[in-house]
Amino acid sequence: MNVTSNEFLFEAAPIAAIAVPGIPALLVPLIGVHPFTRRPSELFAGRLTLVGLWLSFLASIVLAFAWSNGAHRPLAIDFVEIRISSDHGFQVALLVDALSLAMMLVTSTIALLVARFSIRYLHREPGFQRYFISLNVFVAGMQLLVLAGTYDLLLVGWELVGLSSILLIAYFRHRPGPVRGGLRAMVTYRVTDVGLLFAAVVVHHAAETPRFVSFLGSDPWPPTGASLGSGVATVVAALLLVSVAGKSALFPLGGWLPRAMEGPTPSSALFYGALSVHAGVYLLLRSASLFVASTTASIAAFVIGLASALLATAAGRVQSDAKNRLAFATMAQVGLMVAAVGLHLWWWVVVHMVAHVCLRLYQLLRAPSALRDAQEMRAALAELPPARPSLAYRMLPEEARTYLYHLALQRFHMDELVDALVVVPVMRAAHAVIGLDDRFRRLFASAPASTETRVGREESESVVRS
Amino acid sequence: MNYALLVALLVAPIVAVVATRLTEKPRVARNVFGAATTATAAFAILLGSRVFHAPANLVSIALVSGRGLAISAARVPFVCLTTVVFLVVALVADRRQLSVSGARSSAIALLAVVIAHLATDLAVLAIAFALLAGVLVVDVGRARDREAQADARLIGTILSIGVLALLVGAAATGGASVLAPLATDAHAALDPTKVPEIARDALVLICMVGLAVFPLHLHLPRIFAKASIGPAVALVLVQPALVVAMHAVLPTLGSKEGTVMSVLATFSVFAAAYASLGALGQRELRPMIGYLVSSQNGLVLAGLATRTTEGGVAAILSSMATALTGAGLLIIAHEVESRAGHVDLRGSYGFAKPWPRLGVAYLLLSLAALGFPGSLQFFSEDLLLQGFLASHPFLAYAVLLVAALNGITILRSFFVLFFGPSVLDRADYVPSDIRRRELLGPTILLSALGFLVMIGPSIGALVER
Repeated sequence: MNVTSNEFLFEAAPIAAIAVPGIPALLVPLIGVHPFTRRPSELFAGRLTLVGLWLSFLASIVLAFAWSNGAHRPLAIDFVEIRISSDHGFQVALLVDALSLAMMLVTSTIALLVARFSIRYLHREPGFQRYFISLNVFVAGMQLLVLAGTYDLLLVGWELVGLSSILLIAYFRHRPGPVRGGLRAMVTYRVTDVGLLFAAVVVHHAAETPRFVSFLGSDPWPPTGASLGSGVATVVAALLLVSVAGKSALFPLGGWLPRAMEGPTPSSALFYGALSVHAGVYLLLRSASLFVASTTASIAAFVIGLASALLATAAGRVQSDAKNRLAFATMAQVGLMVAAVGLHLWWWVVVHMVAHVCLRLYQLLRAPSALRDAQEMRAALAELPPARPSLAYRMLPEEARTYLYHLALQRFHMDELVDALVVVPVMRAAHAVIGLDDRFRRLFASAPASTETRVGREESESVVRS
Repeated sequence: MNYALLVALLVAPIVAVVATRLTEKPRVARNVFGAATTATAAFAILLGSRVFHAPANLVSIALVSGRGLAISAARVPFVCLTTVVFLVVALVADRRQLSVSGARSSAIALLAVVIAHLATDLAVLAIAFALLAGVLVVDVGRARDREAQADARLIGTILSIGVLALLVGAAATGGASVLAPLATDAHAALDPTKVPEIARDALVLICMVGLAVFPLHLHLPRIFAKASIGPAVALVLVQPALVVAMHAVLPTLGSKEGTVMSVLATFSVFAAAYASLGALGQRELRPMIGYLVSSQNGLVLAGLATRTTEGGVAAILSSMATALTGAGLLIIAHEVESRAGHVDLRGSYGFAKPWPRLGVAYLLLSLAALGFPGSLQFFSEDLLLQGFLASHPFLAYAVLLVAALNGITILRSFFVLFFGPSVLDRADYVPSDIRRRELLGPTILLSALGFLVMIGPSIGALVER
C-alpha cells in the first residue's frame, strides 16, 4: 500500500471509529420513529438494519487497516471534552488497539449474521420492529464499549448493552416468565453496575485523567505495568469485578442467565452465547494493567472465575433443556476466562473468548433444532457401546453423588442465598419504612392507617421475587 | 421593555387566577390556564433572550429596600424550563385534572413557582412558598373525606414549618441576596460574619422541608397522590429555586461549618436511602414518584453539604434534572391513571400492548430519572461522587447504593405497568393510546432535558464562578 492510501486511512480512522457504533445508533430512531408510516414494515426494519450493519462492518474493516498501517501502535482518538466544572470533564475518546480491534471485528461480523438470521426467524412475529430497535441499541452499545477510550464512555456502552438485554429478555412481554427473567436481570445489572461507575470515579480522582492511554499505559496491549499504585489498582479492579460478576453471570450472581433464555433465540445467541456475556471479560482484559499491578485482584479474579466454572459445570450437567444447558456451559467457559485473567494469560483469554463466541453462537442458533439433532445423533451412535462413566462418577460414593445431584439441581441454592441475604432484608427494610411513615403521618395529622402498612411481609418479598 | 416583560411574566398567571374565579365553565377555565401558561412561557423566553443584552446581564424589580425579583443570565434556563413544564401540564391534562378549581390552583401554583425562581432573597422565597403551601392545602383538602382532611393538615403543618424557617432565615441573614451564585454581576453576596447562630438551624430546616427530606418528607408522597397535577408539579419545580438559594446561604454557617456540614451530609445520605426504601415498598405509582423525588433531593442536599465545587454544581444540576423528570413521570402517571383507572404496582398489567407510545415515554423518562449515561442526572451523579470522594469518601458508597435502588424501583414500575399479560384484553372498552397533543408533553420534557445536558456544563461553570 502506498503512502497516499496510508494517509487516507489515518484520516478516515476517526470517521470510521464514529461510524462503527454511530450507524447502528442512528438506526434506532429511524426504525422507532418511522418518518412515513405509523409503523415500519418488516421489510423496512430488516433491510435498514442490514444495510446499517454492513456499513458498520465496512467501517470496522477500514479501522482495522488504519491500525495495521500504523505499525500496530494503539490509536487514541480524542473527540471532545464536556467540561462540567473547572477540574472535571467528560472525555469522549476512543481507543483502537489489538484488543479492541479483535472484539470490534467479532461484534460487527456476528451482529450482521444474527440480524440476517433474525429477519427470517422472527418473520410475522409481533414486535418485529421492537426487536430490531433493541438489536441496534445493543450493537451500538457493544461497539461503544469495545472502542471506548475512557471508563466513562465504556459505561455508556455498558448501560446500553444492559438496557437492550433486559428489553429483549422480556421480549415476549405477554408471558410472565420472560418478564420475571427481565426483571431479575435488570436488578442484577443495576446493583452491579455501580461498581463500574464508582471505578470510573475513583480513576478520575486518583489518576486525574479518564483516558486509558494515560493511566493504563500507552504501550501496545497486553500491558506490562500500570501507572496507578497497587492500592488504587486493587480497589478499581475489585469494583470492576463486581460489575463483571453481574454482566457475565459469575458466582454468585449468575442466577439471571438461565432465566434470560426466555427471549427470542437469536437474541439469546447474540447476548448470552456470543457478545454481552463476554463484555465483562473484555472489560477485565482492557483493565489488564490493573491486575498486573495488583496481586490481590488477580487472586480474586482467579477464585471467582474458578468457582463460577465449577458450579456452572455441575449445574449444567443436570439441566433438562438445551438452552439452559448452553447457558450453564457459557457460564462455565466465561468463568474459566476470568480465572485465566487472574493468571495473566491475556492472549489465551482472547483466543478462548473469540472461539467460544463463535461456537456458542452456533449452538444457540441451532438450539430450536436440538431435538432433531439429538435424534439424529442417537441414531448415528446407536451401534456404539454406551459411554463409560467418568472418573469422578466412579470414585464418588452413591450418597455423595445423589447429594451433589440434588445440589446441582438446586443450582447450589445460589439464588436462594442471594434472596435471603440481600433481597429479603431490603424488602423488609422497605416495608418497615412504609410502616414507620404511616405512624409519623398518624402522629402529625391524626390520619387513618394507610393500607400500605397492611402489606404483609410475605407480600413484600414476593413482589421482588416476582 | 425588559421591566415590562418581567411584570408581564407575573401578571399573566394573576390574570388567569382572576379569570378562572369569574367563570364556572371548565372548558373556559382550561383554555384560560392554557393561554396563561403559553403567555408566561413566551414572556420567559423573550425576557431570557433579552437578559443577555441587559446591563450586567440582570433585570430586576425592587419592591422593598432594594429587595424583590430579578432575572439574571444564569437563571434564564430555570425560569424558561419552569414555564415550559407548566405548558406541558396545560397540554396534557384532561378535563378531570383541570376543572375550574384545578385550573385556578394550577395558575396560582405557576405564579408561586415564577416568584420563587425570580426571588432575590429568602423573604421573597418565603412568600412564594407560602402561596404554594396554601394552594396545596386547599387543593388536597377539597375532598371532604377523613383521609384527605388529614393529608391537608399534614401538608399544611410541614409546609408551614418551611415558611417559618424561611422567614427566620431571611431575618437572620439580614435580607442579603441569594442571587449571587447564579448571578453574572457583582450582586451583594452574604457576609458570613454577619450571620447569627440562629440562622444555622433555620437554614437546615429550610433545606429539609423545601426538599422534602426525612423526616419532613411525608407531605410529598401525599401531595403526589392526592393533589391536582398543577400544584403537585409546582412543588417539584420550586425545589431548584430552593437549592440555588441554599447554595448561596449555606456557606454562611460560621466557624462550626465543618462539623455541621459533615453531619448534614451524612444525614442527607441517610434520608436519601430512607426515601429510596420507601419508594421500593410503595404499592402505587404516584406516591412512589414522591418518594423517589425525596430520595433524589436527599442527594441534592448532600451535594450542597459537601461544600465542594463539584458537590455544589451536582446539587443544582441534579435538582433541575429531578424537577423535570419528577414532573414528567407524574404527568405520565396521571395519563396512565386517566386511562386505566389506577396506578397500582402490585400486579402486572401489560399496558404496553394497548398503549405502546405511553410505555416508550415512561421508559425514556425513567432512564433520564435514574441517571442513564448521557442524561443530566448521570453527569450530576458523577460530579456528586467526585464531591464525596473529596470530602466524605465512605458516604460515596452509600450514594451509589441509593442510586442503584432508585434505578431498580423505577424500572420495576415500568415492568409492572407495561409488561406482563394485558389485563385490558378482556375489557369491553380499551382507551386509546396517548394522542399527539398528549405526546407533546413527554417530547417537550425530554427535549428540555436534552437541552439541559447541552447547557449543563455552562450552568456548572456559572455556579462555580
